[in-house]
Amino acid sequence: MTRRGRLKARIDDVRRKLLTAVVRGEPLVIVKAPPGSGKTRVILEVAALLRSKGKRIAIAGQTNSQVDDICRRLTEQFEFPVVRFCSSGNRARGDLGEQVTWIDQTKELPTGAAIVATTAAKWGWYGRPHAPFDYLLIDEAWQLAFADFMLLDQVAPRMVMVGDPGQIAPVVSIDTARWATSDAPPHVAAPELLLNANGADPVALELPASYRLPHDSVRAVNEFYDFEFESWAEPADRGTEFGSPDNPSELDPVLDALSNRSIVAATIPTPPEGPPLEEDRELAQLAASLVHRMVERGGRLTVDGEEIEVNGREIGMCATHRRMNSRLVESLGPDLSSQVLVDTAERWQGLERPLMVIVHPVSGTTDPTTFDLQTERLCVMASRHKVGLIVVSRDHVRATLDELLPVAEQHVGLPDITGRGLGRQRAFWADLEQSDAVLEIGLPISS
Amino acid sequence: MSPALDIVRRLEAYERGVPQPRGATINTPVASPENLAALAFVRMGGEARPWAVGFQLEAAEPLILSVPDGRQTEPIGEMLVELAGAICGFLGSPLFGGSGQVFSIGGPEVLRQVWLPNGAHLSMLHTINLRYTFARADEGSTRTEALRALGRACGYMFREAGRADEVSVIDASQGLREAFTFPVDDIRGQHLGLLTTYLRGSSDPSSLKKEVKIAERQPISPTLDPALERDELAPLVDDYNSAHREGDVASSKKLGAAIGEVLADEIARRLSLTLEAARILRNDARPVNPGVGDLVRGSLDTKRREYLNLEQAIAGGENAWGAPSAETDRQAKSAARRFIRMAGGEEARTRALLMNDREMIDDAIAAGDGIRGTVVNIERRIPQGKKRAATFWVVEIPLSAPFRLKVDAELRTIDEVPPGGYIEAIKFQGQARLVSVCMNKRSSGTPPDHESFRGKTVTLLPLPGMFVESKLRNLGREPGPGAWATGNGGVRPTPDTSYDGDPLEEIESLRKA
Amino acid sequence: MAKVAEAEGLTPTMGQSPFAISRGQVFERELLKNDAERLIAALVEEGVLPKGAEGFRDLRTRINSGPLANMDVAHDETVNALRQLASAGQRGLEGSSPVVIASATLKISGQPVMLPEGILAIDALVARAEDATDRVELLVGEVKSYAYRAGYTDTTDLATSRAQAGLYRYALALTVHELGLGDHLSVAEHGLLVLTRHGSNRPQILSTEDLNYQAARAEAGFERLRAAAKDLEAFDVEDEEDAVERIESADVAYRPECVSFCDRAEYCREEAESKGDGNVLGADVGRFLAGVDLNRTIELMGGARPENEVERDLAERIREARGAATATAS
Repeated sequence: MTRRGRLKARIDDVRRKLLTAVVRGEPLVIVKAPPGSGKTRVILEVAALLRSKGKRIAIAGQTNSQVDDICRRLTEQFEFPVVRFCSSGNRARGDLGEQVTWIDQTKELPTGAAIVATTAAKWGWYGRPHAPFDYLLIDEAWQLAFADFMLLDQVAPRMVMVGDPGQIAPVVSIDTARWATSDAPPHVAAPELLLNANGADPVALELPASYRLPHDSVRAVNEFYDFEFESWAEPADRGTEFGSPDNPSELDPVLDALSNRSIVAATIPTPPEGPPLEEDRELAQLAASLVHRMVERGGRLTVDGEEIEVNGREIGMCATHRRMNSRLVESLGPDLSSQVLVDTAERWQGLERPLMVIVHPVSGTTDPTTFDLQTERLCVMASRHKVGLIVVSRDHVRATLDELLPVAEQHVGLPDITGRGLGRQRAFWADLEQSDAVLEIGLPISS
Repeated sequence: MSPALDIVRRLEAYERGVPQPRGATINTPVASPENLAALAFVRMGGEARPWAVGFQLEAAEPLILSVPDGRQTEPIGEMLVELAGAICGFLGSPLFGGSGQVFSIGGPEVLRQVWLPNGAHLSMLHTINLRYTFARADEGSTRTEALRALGRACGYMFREAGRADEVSVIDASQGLREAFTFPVDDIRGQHLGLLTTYLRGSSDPSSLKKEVKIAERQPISPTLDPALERDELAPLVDDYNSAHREGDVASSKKLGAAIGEVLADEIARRLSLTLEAARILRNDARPVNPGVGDLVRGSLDTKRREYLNLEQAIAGGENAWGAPSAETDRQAKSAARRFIRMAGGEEARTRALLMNDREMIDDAIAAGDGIRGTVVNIERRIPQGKKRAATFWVVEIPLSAPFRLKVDAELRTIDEVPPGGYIEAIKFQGQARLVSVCMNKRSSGTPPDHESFRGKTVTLLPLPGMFVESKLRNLGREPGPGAWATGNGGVRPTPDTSYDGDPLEEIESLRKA
Repeated sequence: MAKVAEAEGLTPTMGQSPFAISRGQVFERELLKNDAERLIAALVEEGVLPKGAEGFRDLRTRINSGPLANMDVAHDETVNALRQLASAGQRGLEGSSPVVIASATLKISGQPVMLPEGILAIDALVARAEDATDRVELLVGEVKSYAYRAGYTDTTDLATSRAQAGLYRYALALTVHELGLGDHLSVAEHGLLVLTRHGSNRPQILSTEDLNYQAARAEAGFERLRAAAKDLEAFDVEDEEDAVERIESADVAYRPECVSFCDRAEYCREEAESKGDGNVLGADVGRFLAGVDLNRTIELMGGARPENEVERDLAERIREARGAATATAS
C-alpha cells in the first residue's frame, strides 16, 4: 500500500470509530484535530449520520461566522434542513440558502429530529422548559473554558468535542492560583479537563492527517503536539514557481528556496546595540519586500492539482504584536495592504492562505516574556500555509533561545509549561537550521 | 493603562523627579474616617503567622497586639482572638455586635473599607484564613469560635481583594500607584514608604531622593529587617524564653514588654503610612469618577453574599463549616461561579469607570480597542439584513493606529447623550482605515445625521458587556442532562444502541450528488 | 557582597533572619529524627513510598546536626550507599537498603568555579522500586521551610526550589552514570518538595514536581558557567580587601529584582542610573529604550533630533504612545 493509502485507512478508521461511537450513543467523544485536518467535516458527518437516524443535534461554534460556515457546508453536502439560531443583530451578511431557516426565538426551535446551530454562548441560554437534544457537537472545543462548558449542561446528555489542542487558549487575565489544586479548574480548556478527569471516560480520538500543510511542514508543526500526524499532501501536490526576475534582488534566494522546501527562514543581522523592540521597522520592511517581490515576480502555486496565480490575495502575514502588524501594513503600502491579510495569531485561527510570511515571535527581544515564548502562537502562525511559509527574524533568535534558562514558576503540581514551550521553540528553529533553510539577508534591503 | 503609555509616563515622572498624577479622576473611593480602618502585620522570619498585628480605625487610636515569641501557638491564638473582636465587629458580623447589615436601618448603604499597606499583607490574610477557618482545637469554645470567625473574615477580605471591581479591601500601595505614576519600577513601587515620601514632596529634588532612600530602607511588608531581628529581637526572645522556662515571671514580663515595644513601633509605622495613603487620595484635587458608585454597590452586594449572610446564619445556630475553603474550590459549580465573577471583574470595573476617565479612554484607543478619528462622510442607507434606513458615519483613522475592533462590534460615543452604533464595514483607502458605523437613532439631542458631525473628530468605544450576571444565573439552574460531564451530578449515560453497520458507507449514501 | 556593600557605605543585612535560619534547621531536624520517622510517614501517606517502608541513612555533617566529620566523608558514604542500593536491588529496599538518605553528597567534577569544591548535598534522597522494571528509582527531595498554601504557595520560592532540585537531579544522574550503576539505578524525572504544612512543623509532600526541563537547565547553566569562566581572567585574590576592590570596579548589571536578594542593590541601581540604564525604572522601560541612554531619551522626549535608526524608532514609539493620549474629541 502507498503512504497515502495507509493514511487514508487511518483517517477512515478514525472516522469509523467516531461515527460508530455516536450511533451507539457514546456519551462523550473528544477528537483532537491538528491544523487543517478536516475538523469541520467531522462535525458535518456526525450531524448528518445522527440526523438520518432521527436524532436531535445541537451544534455549537465559537463565533457566528464559524457557525454560518458550518451551516453553509452542511447544506451544500447533505439534504437535511438546518436551523440557524441567532439574535437578529447577528444575521449573516450573505444568505445561507433555502435549506437554512433563521430563527431568533427559542419558541421557534423545532421539536423532533433536527439540526440546530448557534454559538456556544447562545447555547448557554438554552434550557428548561425546552426539550433537550440528543447530542451536542462542540466545534473549536479547546477554546471553551470549563466554566463556560458548564453552562451547556442543559442542551444534551451526550457530547462530541472537536478542536485543535495546539491553538491559543482564551485569555485568562485573573490570577488562577485558587484553582491550581482543584479537580474542576474552571479556566482550563474543557476537553483537557475531561480527558484527565475521573469518571468522564471519553472516547479519545486523533485525526491523523493535515490536509492543509505541505508534506515537509508537518514535521515542524508536529513539534507542538503530543500526538503524531502526517500531511495528506504528497511532495508533488504543493509547489511554488515564481516567475523569472527581470532584475536580481537579494531576496530571490528566499523565494527560490520555497521551490525546494515549504518553510524557509530569512534573517537579518541583529544590530550591535541590541534588538529593537515590538516594532522592528527594518524587519517589517524585509517582510513586506518579500511579499512585494513575490507579487512582482508573479508565478504559479500548485495546490493539489490546481494552479493559482501568485498575487496579494493568496498571501497572509502575521506578527504577534499589534504594533508590528501595523508596521507590516504600512510597509506593504496601500495596494497590497488591501489584498494581503495581516493580523495577529489569535485572529488567524481558523484561516489559511497558500503563502504566509510571519515574524518570529522571539525576534527583537533577548529577554522574551512568557507571551513571546508561548508556543501556541508560533504553532498557529506556522500552520496557516498550504504551499509556503517564510519566517523572518533577526539573527539572534537561536542564541537567545539557547541561552534562556527557563524559570519553572507554575503552581504546585502543574507541568512545567515554560520549559516544555522553550523546548518546542528550540526544536522548531533547530529543524530549520538542520535543513539548511535559514537564509541570511544583508542590510540594507534594496527593494 | 497601555504598556507603552505607562512607560512614557514613568519617563516623564523621572524627568521631573516627582510623581505625576495618573488619570483625570480618582478611581478608588475613600470611605469616611469612621468607616475606614488600616490593618497591618509583622511576622517572625521563617514563620507564616503574625507576630504582631495592628488595626486602626482612622478616627480612633490604634489597637496594636503582639506576642513575645512569634512561634508559639497559644499566645498567637489569644492575640488573634482579640483581633477577631475588632475586625469582625468592624465588618458588621452579628457574632461580634455588628448589625449584620451593610446599612443602618433606614440609612443609606455605607461602605466600610479595610486598607492594608501592600500585597504582602494580603497574603497574611490568606494564611490566617488557611490556618483558622476550620480550627478544630477546643471544639465549641468561644476561643475556637472567635478564631474561626477571624479566619472567615480574613478569607472574605483576601478573596475580595482579588476581584478587580471591588472597593472594600484596599492595597494602599496599589491605590497610590493607580492614582500617580512614580519614577520607579514595579518592585520598588510596592514600598508604601517610598510612595508616600515621594508624594509628601520636598522643596528640593535632591533632598527628596535622599528622603526616599531613607524611607525605602525601612521595611513595609510583614517581614522584618533581618538586622533588627538579629541585633535587637533575637537576644530579647532568647532571654524571654530562658526566663519563661525558669519560671521567672517578673523578668519574662519585662522582656515580653520590651519585645512588644519594638514590634509596636514596626506596626505603628505601617499603620500610619497606610492611613496617610488614604488621606492623600481623599484630599486629592481630582474628582472621584462618578462610576465608582457602581463599584461601591457591587462591593456591598458581595459583602452581604460572601460574608454577612454566613455570619448571620452562624449567629442563628448553623455550624461554621459552610465557609468557603481557603485552598481551592473543590466543587465544579462553586469554582465556575467564582471564576466567572472574578474574570468579569475587570470588565465590570471598566464598564463602571471608562466613560468618565479620559486616560482609560486614551488607553483603550492606544490598545486598538476604540476609534478616534474624523467623520469623513455621513450616509443614509439600509443596513444589510435590515429593513429600515439608518445613518452611517464613515470614520477615518490612520492605518498605523492599532485597531482590534471587528465588524458587528457595538460602540458608544463619548458624549453627553451618547448615541452608539455598530461597525458595519471596515475598508482601506490609502494610508487610512475607513470604518462604517451604523448609528443608532437618538431620542434627544442632535441626531447623528446632522451635518455638524461631518469633519468632526469623534471617539467611539465598545462598552464591555454585562455577561457575568446572566452567566451566573444560568449556572444556577437545575442540573441538565449533560450535568454528569460538568461535575454537577447526574448519571453518565451508557451507550445504548447496537450498531453493526458501516458508517462510512451510510454517510456517502447521504451525501448530495 | 555584604563586605562590598559595607565598603560602599551601605548597611548590609547579611542574609536571612536568624529565626528563619533556625526554623529551617528545626524543621529538618524534626523530619529526620528517629530514623526519619516523620518524613517517611509523610512519604508513605502521599504514596511515594510503600507501606512499611523503612531504612534511613544520615549523611549530614556534624555542623548540620549529623554524624559525619565533613563533606568528603559524606561524599564517600554517598557513593557507598548508591553502590549498595544498586547491588541489593529492589529486594534490598525491603531489607537493609535505606529508603531515605539525608544529605546525599555529590561532586561535580571540574566545576571549581562558583561552587566551592563543586559539592552538592541533596536534602533527602528517596529510593523505591521502579515500576515495570527491576531497577531502584531515586527521587531528589528538597526540604524547604516555606509554607504550602495550595495554589497560593509562593511561585518564586517554588521556581527556586525546582531549579535547585533540577540541578541535583542532573548531578545525581551524572554520578550514577559515572559509577556505572545505570543498569540498576534510575533517576526519576520528577522530584519531591517537602514544605511545611501551613507553617507548622508538619510536612507537606509535593511529589509530582516536573523537573524535566530544570535538569536540562542546570546542564545548560554549567555550560554557560564553564564558557564564562574561560573568558574571565583568572585572578588571585590576595585578601578580602582586594576582592572587594575588584568587585567594586566591575560593571554592574542592575535589574529591579536585585533589591529582593542582594545587599548591594541600592549601589548598583545608582551606578546603573548614572550610566543611564533604563532598567532603573523597570525591565519594561529597559526594553523600551532599546539601549538608548535614559538621559538621551529625556532629550528626545523634549524634541531633540534622533541621531540614528534606534533613536528614531524610540522617538516614534514615544510619539505614538503620547499621540493617542493627546488627541481630543470634539
